Amino acid sequence: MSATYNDGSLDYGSAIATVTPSATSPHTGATFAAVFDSVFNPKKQIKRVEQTNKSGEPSAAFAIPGIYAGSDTIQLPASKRVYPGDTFVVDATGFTTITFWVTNADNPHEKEGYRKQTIEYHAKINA
Amino acid sequence: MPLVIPGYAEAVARERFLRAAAFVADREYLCGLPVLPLSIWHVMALDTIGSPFVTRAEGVTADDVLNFLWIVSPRYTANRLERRWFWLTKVRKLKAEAAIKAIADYVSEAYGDAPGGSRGGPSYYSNAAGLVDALASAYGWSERDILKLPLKRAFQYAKAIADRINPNAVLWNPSDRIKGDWLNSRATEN
Repeated sequence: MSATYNDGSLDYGSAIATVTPSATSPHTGATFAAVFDSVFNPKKQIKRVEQTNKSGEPSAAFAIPGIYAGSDTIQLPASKRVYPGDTFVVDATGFTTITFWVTNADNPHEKEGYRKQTIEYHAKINA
Repeated sequence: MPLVIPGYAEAVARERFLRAAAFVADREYLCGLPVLPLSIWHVMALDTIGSPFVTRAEGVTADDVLNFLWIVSPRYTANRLERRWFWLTKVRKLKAEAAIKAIADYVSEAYGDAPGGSRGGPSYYSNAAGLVDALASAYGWSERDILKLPLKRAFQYAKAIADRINPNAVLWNPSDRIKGDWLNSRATEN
């Protein structure tokens, strides 16, 4: 058995988010860091349109690429929480140039003064 | 480049060890004395007598230390003479400050995998009832068996159940403290 299995980096590919409170957020002010509980892996929404023949069978189709969206749990500083309308950027490979917009945020969960929150988000189009 | 949080790797290794050990060891040592792993029954018994180690009340007395060590002792009975013998031969010579810290650490470690919660709302039943309900519903175990189950195992099962029922459930690791302290320090810097 090896002596260690983790090099000290965040496990499971967890990513760091830098959250910017929105202008209307109760937490207006400085940006703050948050850590995703698991792999940051938003899905790209695809709108698929099918053309059918007179029997209702698909005869042609096309798809319109959408934007990245997802739902995840993040760990926050004890004094912070995320509100809908806040935005964040993530250090995860492939997503560093995208700004995400929080569309829903559950009430924070707390344990021993530490805090986590489940959020829904999608890529901000006019970032 | 991966982010490195000081102490995180050690915390993850320790929680992995403790989770595995909870299924192997049926005795722990506290203040040099053999004790049972802390169970739901122990917590309810300690809560009933107002033990500050579970109620988090201020001011721990020598009697609180004795009661705690006696209740988690494998020799525990309701016999007062045996309790008296335990005090005279095992507990009286302990250094109070070290014993209080050791007991607090023992309790904290047992609660490592305990669930968190969102704010608000009164509680309508005890934590014991909640755990018995979760484990009995999932596995069909008896109340008696669940009450005697070490918390370190009960909480792992409860997390597994929560994860199965709701893949989006908010779960906690003991190592989250390290991440939380790191996040707090960065929030203070800003």
